[in-house]
Amino acid sequence: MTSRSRLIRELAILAAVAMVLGFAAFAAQRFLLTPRAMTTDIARSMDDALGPLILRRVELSQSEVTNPAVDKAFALILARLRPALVQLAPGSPGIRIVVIDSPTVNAFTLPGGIICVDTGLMRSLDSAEQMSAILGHELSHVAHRDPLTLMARQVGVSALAGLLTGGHGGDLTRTLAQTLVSVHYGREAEDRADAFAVQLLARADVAPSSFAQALQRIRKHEPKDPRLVTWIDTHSPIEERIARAAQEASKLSVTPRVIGVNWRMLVAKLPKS
Amino acid sequence: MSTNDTTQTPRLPQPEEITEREKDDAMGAYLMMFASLAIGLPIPLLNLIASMIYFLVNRKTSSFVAFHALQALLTHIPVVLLNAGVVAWIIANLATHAASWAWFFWYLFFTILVNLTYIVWSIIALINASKGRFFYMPVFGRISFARYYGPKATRAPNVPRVWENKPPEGF
Repeated sequence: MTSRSRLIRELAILAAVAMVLGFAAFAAQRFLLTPRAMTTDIARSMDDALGPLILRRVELSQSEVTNPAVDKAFALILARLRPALVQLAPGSPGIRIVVIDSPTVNAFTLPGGIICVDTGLMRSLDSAEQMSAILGHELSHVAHRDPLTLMARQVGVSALAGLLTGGHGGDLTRTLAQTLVSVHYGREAEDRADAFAVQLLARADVAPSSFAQALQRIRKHEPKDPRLVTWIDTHSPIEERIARAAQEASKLSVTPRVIGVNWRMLVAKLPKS
Repeated sequence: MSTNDTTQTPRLPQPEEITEREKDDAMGAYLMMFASLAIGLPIPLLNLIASMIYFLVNRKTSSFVAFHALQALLTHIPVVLLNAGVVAWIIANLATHAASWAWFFWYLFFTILVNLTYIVWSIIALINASKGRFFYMPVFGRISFARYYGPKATRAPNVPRVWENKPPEGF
């Protein structure tokens, strides 16, 4: 055997060792850290109790929009989405939509089926179909209990339980509220939510391409990320998400029924923030 | 090729020919890596500089010390880069509110396992070095040997005898 072929053999040995270690690490990550199994162990009543608690915290810093026209519009959208949600995820909790007076383009989910929508997001969208697409994404977080998973992972189940019995001060609720407002649940959960939204729209007789359109609208309001952020960020780059949503939507054939909401007029009625 | 073929293999210093000082310095190269690994964990790239300084200072002592110091340095580089990746990932994740740690934990576990492998391998090399023996880690040992005992390095005169210290197989 020549020196070179021995070197190649040793390189192969090193590569094999690295692969074994990589696989061992993957197995460890897979079986030692299983947050999903953890969530199902937590009673649903925890979601229902924690949601309003955190919502109260959010409302301390931002005000809720109470407008009958807005409530009626969301009731119409939910009436359309609800049967599809029950089909896709039986046992999902009742949904409550809270519109928050804030210029940021954001929607977020609190435990127990509370979805908060910023007026900034409503302004950036064109139609009730696009709004229902965004809600479809958030409904996936509701159905899969992503907020509770994240909170339990962050502070532990016992701390959450302590919160309900009044053991902790307001600091923990504030931290949790801040987290949930600005959080991405990780790439896996976000991709699942995107796919869920498209499926949900199709079942609710809303054009599934609305989700890609809604993302397009949001993209215009996204701050430009510096390079460092994009390669480690867990959200798929938005272009990638749009392309995937459009591709998935093209596979489904749906005869859309219009949701009877004049979105432009509704947005005009929102308070100036 | 016979391992005792003195016309082909370079003449290597045998354990009893190596001074205690050289053995200590060669062992020190590996110990230095451990120390810098522990101290430099928060800022991993700094300990690479420390390792490099040790190598640059000690390579003049003798070829034996230089061989072990270079081997220690070369094996140190990938480990330090992996560790630097962990620190960079934590900082980046905290800075951008990205909440998925799934792949991070894979990377973290992988890095821990690589570190453990590296430490075990280095301890074996360290013991050998302290006894005045050569020890070849895969690839890195070969590169380091070629640098100080290969065809381009200056060789000691051939002495016919049975060698205890041998070059890597097939060299």
